[in-house]
Amino acid sequence: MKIKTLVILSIFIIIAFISINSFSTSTYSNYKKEFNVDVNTHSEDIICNVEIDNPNTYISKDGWAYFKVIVKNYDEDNNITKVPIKYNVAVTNEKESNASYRYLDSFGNKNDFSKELITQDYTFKADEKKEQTINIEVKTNSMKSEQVNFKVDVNCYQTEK
Amino acid sequence: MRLKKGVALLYFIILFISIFGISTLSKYKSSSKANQTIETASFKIKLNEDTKLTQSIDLKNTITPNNYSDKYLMPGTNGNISLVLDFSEVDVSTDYTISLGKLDLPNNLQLYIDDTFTTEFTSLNDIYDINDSKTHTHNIYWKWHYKTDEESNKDDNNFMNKDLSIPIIIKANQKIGGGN
Repeated sequence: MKIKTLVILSIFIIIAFISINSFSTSTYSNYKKEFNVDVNTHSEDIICNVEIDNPNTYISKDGWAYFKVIVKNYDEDNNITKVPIKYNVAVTNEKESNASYRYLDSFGNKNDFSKELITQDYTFKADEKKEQTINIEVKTNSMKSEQVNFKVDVNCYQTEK
Repeated sequence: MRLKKGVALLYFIILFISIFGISTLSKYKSSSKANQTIETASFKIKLNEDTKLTQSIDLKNTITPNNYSDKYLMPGTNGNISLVLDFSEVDVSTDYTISLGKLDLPNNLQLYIDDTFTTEFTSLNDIYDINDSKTHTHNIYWKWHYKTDEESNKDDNNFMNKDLSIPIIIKANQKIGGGN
């Protein structure tokens, strides 16, 4: 066998030995830990319910027909809003009606008759069961009884506590 | 020729034996045994006084003073999620990261590293050194901005009366080369 081949084989064996020893020693993983934190919650919603009380029999002391808008911060199950609310009431004519409207609340606040009525802003606090009644008087130019079609919008939105 | 082959074979046998070795026992032999114990290093990290790997925090319990609600989550509220890492039962220096999982939150609800709600939080890297204080506290501040533009109203309303979640992941690894 040639000496050259011998030498090459020897070197190969030595290298193989070194490699085996390098990788065959025990390895140790390091300590690891992983926390998973779920930060969860439920967001609140506004509860702002409106009831229109219009039996067609209410007459104000000034002689105007009126109806009641009752705004509540609780629902049918008595769940009270957790979100503080600000709201107002808007009344406008529908179809071909041409009436004017005036509001009067329990605090004595009122405005002049106008074809498009917007009340002042009112507030409800969170977690306090409350309702507010606003009388809306209706006036027409004709001197006779007539059917008036109107729309009531109650605009509720979140406000500061 | 045969002699040369023989010499070569002999050479390889000698080389093999000298490298890999065959255990041989001399006529006189001795061996000794000893029972020893060694205490491995402890790695009991606690998060908010708990070692549980999965934990839950109710965001409502992290609300801080604001103009809208002290108890309930809604636009305008803000708070502070406090993460207290306790290394008192950790014997090794530790690298750790705090990051967020997948979020599905209102556009106006954002997370910050500061209580002035200026710099957004994305992730955090820190090191506990064994010569360090044993408690590391990190705060993630959150704020649901109260905005009244139409787009914000629409987005906020989509998240009204909904379950919200902020997944936080804390990974801690023993620090290589951190021994004493």
